[in-house]
This record gives sequence, structure tokens and C-alpha cells, in this order.
Amino acid sequence: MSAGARFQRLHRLWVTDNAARWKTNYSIVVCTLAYGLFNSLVLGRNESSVTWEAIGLCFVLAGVSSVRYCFQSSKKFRGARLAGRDIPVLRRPVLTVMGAAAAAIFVTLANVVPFSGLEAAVVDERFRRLSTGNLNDARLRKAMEMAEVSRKLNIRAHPSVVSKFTRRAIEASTSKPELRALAWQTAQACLGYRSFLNPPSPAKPAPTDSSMSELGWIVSISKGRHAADNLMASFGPFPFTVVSVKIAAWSDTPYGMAVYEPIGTGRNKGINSGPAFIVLQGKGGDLALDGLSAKHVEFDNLQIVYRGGRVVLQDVRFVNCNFRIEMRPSGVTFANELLAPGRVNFVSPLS
Amino acid sequence: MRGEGRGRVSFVAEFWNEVRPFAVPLLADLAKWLLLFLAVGLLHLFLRALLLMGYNPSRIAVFEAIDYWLAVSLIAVFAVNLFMRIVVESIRIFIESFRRAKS
Repeated sequence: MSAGARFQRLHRLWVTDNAARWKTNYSIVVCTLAYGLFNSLVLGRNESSVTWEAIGLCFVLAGVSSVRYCFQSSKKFRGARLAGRDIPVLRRPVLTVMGAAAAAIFVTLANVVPFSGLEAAVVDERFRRLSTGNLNDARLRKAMEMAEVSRKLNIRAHPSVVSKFTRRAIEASTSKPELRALAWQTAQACLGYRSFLNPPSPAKPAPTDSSMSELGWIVSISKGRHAADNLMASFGPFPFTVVSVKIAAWSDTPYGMAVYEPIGTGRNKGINSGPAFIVLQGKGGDLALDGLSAKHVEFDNLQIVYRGGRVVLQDVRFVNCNFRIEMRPSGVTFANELLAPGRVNFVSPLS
Repeated sequence: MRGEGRGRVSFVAEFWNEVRPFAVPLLADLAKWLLLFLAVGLLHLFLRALLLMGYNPSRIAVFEAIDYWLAVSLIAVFAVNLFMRIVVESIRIFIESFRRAKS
């Protein structure tokens, strides 16, 4: 068979022979689906690499199918050609109309109906229902699951509803000994979800100079590139889990400057200008609050660890954080403070 | 005057007759693809609704994986179809123009 005839077959497979093309398509979908499911569910491999492999597999299978179609015997091919219509005619007009209509409705609904708002309303209603009546084991588990699922699906419930339930969970952890551990665990999950609902501050990177100490990086920040020769305000030490330090505002008075240092250090004494608000960004790693003095600071995407030690927090925000708080009186007070509207102010031990 | 218009075909009809052999199979294919993508989208929404209704996430995770890999394989096969059609049609047009130029 000539090359021209083989090309005609290839053209027929991908353009006119609907039956053969869809048979090939379905076979490839089944193979790719099986490959993806086996690798992700059975072998537990990384999803992104398997996705690229699956896409590659599709192209390979399409190539194999094309070769098979082009090189099959003429007798067999004639039979296949007679079985499927080779002339491009719309064989199933009903299917066309149904598909187009359903897709049009779906696209319209997806644009007109506020799905995210509906989902948030469902989560609100569920938290409200869980808040009323006695808290028990089942309700706490449901709330914890709800907080984790809503966060995963990026559903933004009303913060006040979440705060209300979290307060009840904190209260249950102190007043009901049989629910103590579960209620505290649920409260921490809800605190994480509550911080996820806080919008992040618009911050930008500032010219910085960093040096290493035994405990981590100390970062000095200047207002502009040319101010690097002046005495700069410094912050830290930061743990390695803090991946970037950004500034959201600048203060020309010592009182308005941000603070992030061990309690009693007074690192920025004598410096008259510095960042008024700093944003510490992480990737979900730990940051311990014990022994820390922080003022005008935002903690973003970090796991906040508090073991109930000394801490001074003034005008602090937590955005998309997880919390691991030890269940002590100071820990309970801190958890309640996290639910206060606006920014967090907390000093322990109370003077 | 009447007789003049008898043999004429309107521009729209002429255009449709010209593109019909290409447009009709494309429409039929498009409808099939839309239906398949719609099914995957609806399954995704259904699973989200189940999660919000409080079903066990670990059980739903298996169906979520099926939904994800189904979507990936459909998109990949759609891309393969598009790619192959473009390549095959381009080669055909090139060969035909070459033949015409030769003759």
C-alpha cells in the first residue's frame, strides 16, 4: 500500500470515521484512567508527575492506534469502513441538541448562581446548628471535620459564626472533663479555619540585610535602597520556617515601629524610623511564641506553637495559620483572644 | 423578472452547503465532548456537596481520585484529537495545494 493511501486512512481515522475514532478515544480514556488510579491510589505516587505521564501515555496510545489503523489488512479495513459511516453526516441530532443545551445551562448556572456563596451559606448553617444545644462527642467531630473540609475546599464562612462555635468548644474543653481532649482539638482546628478567613495584608518586600545568629536569621530592614547606610531597624531571630519578611507600612516615630524580638531585648532602642507593620510568611512550618515580643506583626501560613510561656503580643494578626496550643490557663486565654474581632493583643503572664 | 431568481441560491445556503461536510461532524463531536465534560463537572459538584453534607472524607477521597483522573484523561484525549486533526488536515491541505500547483 502506498504512503498516500496510508495517509488517507490516517485522515479517515481522525476526521471522518466517527465510529473508529470514538472507539479509540474510549480505549485511551480507560487506559489513562487505570494508569492514573493505579499510580495514585495503589502506589501512592506524586499526583503532578503521574498527571504528566498520563498525558504522555495518551499521545503514545493515540500514535499506536493510528499505526494500527493505517496498517491493518485491507479486508478487515473494508469491513470496518462499511460498518461505520464514512460520510460525515450528523447521525444523532438529539444527542447534539441535548449536549449543547446541557452545556449552555451548566455554563449559565456556573456564571449566574453564586456557588461559593451557597457553599458558604451551607457551612454557616451547619456551624450555627452545631453551636445550638449541648456539645457532645459527635458534634465536636463533625465541626472539626467541617472546619478542615471547608478550608481544603476554600469555602469562606462568616467569621462570627465560626468564632461563636469555637468559643463554645473552648468552654467545653474546660468545663466538661469527658470532652476535654476532643473539644480542645476541635477548638484548635476551628481557630485554624478562623485564621484562614482573615484576609492577608498587602505587603511588599523591603531592602533587607540579614545575618545569622544561633537561633536563626536576624533581618535589618531599610525604607529604600539608598537608606542602607543608615542605622536600620532589625527583627528576629526568625526560625527557618519563616521564608520571607515583608513590610506593609513605614513609621517615622519609634512608637509606631513594629517589634519582633525575644522579650526584654530592646533591639531597636535609639532607632527613630522603621517598618510600622511586618508580615512573616511561611510554608506551614512551626513558629514558637514562647518568650517572644511582637508588635504590629502578621503571621502568614505558619503553624503557631504556644506552650503557655511568657509572651507579649500587641496588634498582631494570624492569617491562614494552624495552631498547636498547650491546654493551660494561659493557652485557653490565648485561644479566646484569637477570636476577638480585629487584631490580637495578648500578654502572658498577666501583669 | 421572476424567472431570473429561480436558479439562484442564497448566500447563506451556499455557505452552509460549502461548510456542511466539515461543520456537521465537528458539531456532533463537540456535543459528545460537552456531554462528557458535563458529566465530570456534575460528579465533581456532587462530591463537593457530599463533603459539605458531612460524609466521611476518606471514603469520598476515592471517588474524588476517580473524578480527577477521568477529567485528566478526557482533557488529554481531547487535546490528542485536536492535535491530530490539525496535523492531518494541514498535511491534506498542503498535499492538495501541491498537486494543484503541479497540474
